[in-house]
Amino acid sequence: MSEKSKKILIVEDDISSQQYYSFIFSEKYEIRMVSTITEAKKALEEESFGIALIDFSLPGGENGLDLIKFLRQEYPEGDPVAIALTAHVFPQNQVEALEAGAAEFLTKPIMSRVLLDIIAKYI
Amino acid sequence: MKSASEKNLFHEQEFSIHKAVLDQSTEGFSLLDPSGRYVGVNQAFCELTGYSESELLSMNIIDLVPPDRSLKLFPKLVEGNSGEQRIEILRKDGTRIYAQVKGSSIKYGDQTYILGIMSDITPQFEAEGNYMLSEKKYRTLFDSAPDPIVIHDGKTILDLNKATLSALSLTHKEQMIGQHPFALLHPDDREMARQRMQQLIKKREPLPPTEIRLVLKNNDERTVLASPIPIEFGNQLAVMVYYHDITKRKTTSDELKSSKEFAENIMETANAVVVAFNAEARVTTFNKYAEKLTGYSKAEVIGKNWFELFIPKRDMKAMPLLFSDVLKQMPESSQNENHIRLKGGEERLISWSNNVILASSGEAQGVLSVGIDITERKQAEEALKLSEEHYRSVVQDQTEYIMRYLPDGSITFVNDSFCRAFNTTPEQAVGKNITHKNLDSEVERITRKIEALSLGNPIITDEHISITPSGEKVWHLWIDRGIFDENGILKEIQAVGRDITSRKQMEESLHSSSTQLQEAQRLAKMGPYSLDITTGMWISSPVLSDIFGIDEDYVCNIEGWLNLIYPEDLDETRDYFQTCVSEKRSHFDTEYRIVRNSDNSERWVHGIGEFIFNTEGNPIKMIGMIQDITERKLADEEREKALVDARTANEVKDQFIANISHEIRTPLNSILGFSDILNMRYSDSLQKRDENIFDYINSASKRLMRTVDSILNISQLEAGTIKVYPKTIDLVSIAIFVIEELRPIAEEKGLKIHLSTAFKEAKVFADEYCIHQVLTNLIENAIKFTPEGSIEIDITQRQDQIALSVTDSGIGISEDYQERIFEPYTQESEGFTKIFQGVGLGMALTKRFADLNHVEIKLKSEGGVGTTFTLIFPPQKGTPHV
Repeated sequence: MSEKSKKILIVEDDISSQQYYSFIFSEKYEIRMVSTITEAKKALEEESFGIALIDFSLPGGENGLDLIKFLRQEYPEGDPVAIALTAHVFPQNQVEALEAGAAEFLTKPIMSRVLLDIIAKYI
Repeated sequence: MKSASEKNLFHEQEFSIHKAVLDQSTEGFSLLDPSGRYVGVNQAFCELTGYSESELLSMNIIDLVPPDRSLKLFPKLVEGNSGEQRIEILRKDGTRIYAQVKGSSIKYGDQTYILGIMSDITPQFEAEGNYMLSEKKYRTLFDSAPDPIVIHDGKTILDLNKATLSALSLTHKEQMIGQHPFALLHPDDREMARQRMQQLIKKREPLPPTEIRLVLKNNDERTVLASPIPIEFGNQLAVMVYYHDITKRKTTSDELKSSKEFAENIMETANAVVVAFNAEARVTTFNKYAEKLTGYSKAEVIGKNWFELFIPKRDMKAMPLLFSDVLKQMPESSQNENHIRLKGGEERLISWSNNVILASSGEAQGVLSVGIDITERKQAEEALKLSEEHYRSVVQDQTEYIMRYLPDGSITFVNDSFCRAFNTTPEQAVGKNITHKNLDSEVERITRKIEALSLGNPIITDEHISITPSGEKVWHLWIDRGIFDENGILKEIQAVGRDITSRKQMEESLHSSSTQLQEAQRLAKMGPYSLDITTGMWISSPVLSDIFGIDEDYVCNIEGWLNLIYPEDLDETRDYFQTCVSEKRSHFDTEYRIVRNSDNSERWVHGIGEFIFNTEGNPIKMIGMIQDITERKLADEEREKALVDARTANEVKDQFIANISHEIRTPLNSILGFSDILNMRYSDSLQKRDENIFDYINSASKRLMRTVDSILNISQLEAGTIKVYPKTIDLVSIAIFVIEELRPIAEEKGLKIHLSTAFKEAKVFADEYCIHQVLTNLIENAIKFTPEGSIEIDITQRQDQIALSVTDSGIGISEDYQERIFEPYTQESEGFTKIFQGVGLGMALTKRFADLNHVEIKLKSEGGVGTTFTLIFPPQKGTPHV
């Protein structure tokens, strides 16, 4: 088994959030930024990631929850780890995300320190 | 009585109860006014006289009296006596009948009338007469020679025998009777015969026979030996001449015998009792009719004492005296009525005609009595009298008003009750017109009523309001019966009235309540029905027929009902009905659509029914109501639609708020993220006055976020769509997290914020998010309404309950507002003048989140001193709290 990848797949369609994540991760991590599920699945086929940071609301028919379920189905060992990061902040959203297989449920807005601390837990 | 001669009084109402007696009687009943005019006759009377009813009613009694007779009984009756007599009647065809007539006077109205009861006794009379005659003849002839015999009085021939006829070559007695007895004598012998006649009358004893010549019609001359004997014949002295044809002598014994048989035959076949007694009252003759009536055979009776055998004990003294009187006084004929006892013990009333039988010596030898059974007649007579009395008492004692009036409206009779009701007297009322204002003011109505009366429609009933003399309004029911003559002309009206005020009032109240019920049914569109399950026929009601749009021609059977049902609802409704019947349910209750028969409109109905079962427990009947619920159904549908719309709108709103929240949080993610990065990188290089810029951005952004969260929360809480996930959580760490989150805001205002607790952990069972929100709101609120001082957060345990209190030193909450504080969108000061920020959702959210987790909130506040909110968590069984 190859060494665990430290690459982060970020699935986020909001441009300002993409800019924010690029800014805070660029110093420490290699990231691949996609804005659709289709692109995310393509990226997962092309390379391996340590973490997938996934927004809930995404363009196209499927949402972030579907992608988390897909990940846990296709990659049952746990790589990449799915971390939900969403502006949907209610308890039921959290329950849904954890049930789908997310390792963490994070809500927007999120401070860079908090986010980096959690990412560090997994890679 | 305007024109009584044209009217048969027997047709009047009061006689009608005895109409059967009058109609069926073989005896003639007649009613006459004192002038002798017939005012009432029955059918039997018409038959006896040979005249029609209408002829008799225009006749006088004198018209029926033969010219050679005179009225004897009638004048006595008019004087008020009653009596009986045997009379002769001249019939229409000129023949005569013998009749027994009994008469009495009766009062009718103000008038006195004579009631006559007549029976035909012609056969009896003839039998009687013949018998008497033949007895005498028989006796006489027995003593003398049996040859031609002629009876005459010296002037006319009274009778003759068959021997005479054959001797004279004649066929009928009538050819001789009435002729002069000497007409047949040879002219030379006539003077001699006249002298012998005078001699006989003088001596009153038979003369010795002498030879006389007769000249027959064929001029044949015969010499006979004539023996004259004086006899009593019909109350007169007559001569019976016995002739012996010297030329052709022959015996007449055979003739004599046949003559006797003839008489006896008549007697036997007479339709009357014929009895003869000797002077000791022993029965010597007893005819067939007597046998039939009494039940005794002739053999049982002959030789017995009449009184002992036939007379009831109560008459045993009187009757023999009467009999001896009859014998002594020897009247030509006498009449009496007495009861006889039949063999079976029953009694009959017999009207007798008694004739004394004389011996040739002239002494009374016995009595011949002819009797008619008048029991029924007597009963009818009594009944008639009784009915008259009864009628009178009925009329006068009636509580009903009785009035009679003529077609012109003039009153002829009123009873006591009428007088009482209309405050009048018979004297005042009779003769007045019915339309007189005191009696009835509605002239037109009365006129119409009188006009409407006819033979075919003799009774008219009407109800109307009358004004009593005291001014009271009363309802009267009048039954007016027209009395008509035989030509159908209205003669008089008898009106019977009654006060029906109370009945009328009841009727009106019933009518109004039934109208109200029907009106209520109509308004409720609720039509009753009743279904006979065995026949499948149902009875509709006006309201139901309206609902179904059916008329009276509609076939109201099960098929007819199913045909009305909207096709889509048919199967279900029919199955439901059949299930109810087959499972013997007691109720039927369903809603279905119908297609109205009259206009094909689609209507919703609600059918309910109760089943009625027979003794075997099978449903036989169903009664219930069908209500048109179309309007309600439409309203229901609209309400349902409105509800769906509202839910949709609510969902849209919730979704919208969720989207707003999402869309605000998303940019805040980078705003706060970047400002935080800037803060970390550049805060040291910022000038003193700018060092708080990043905190301001952070604080403002978080307030924006909390506002959006609050709106989203309340919307979800009110819609009930929020879900809670209770689990064991640590209240201490949550409190620390929230306090640290809000500390910058408190410190910004110069407020101290402090958590004080004896515990490192305080475990409660609740939803973390909810508790986080509750604490955030309470502490944020405390900060907001505390201008200076401190915020104290205490976590304590009382018995097994964990409590968290947030105490501030703020402005406090007025008592008035304390009651409303948990209502959403409220603040103590509102409008443009409001002092504090916020949308007024914080406390409402706090309360609802607390309720969702069964956390109790207590509020204690004092103006100017501060406020304490205390959260009391439910006990956590089996788990240590600390």
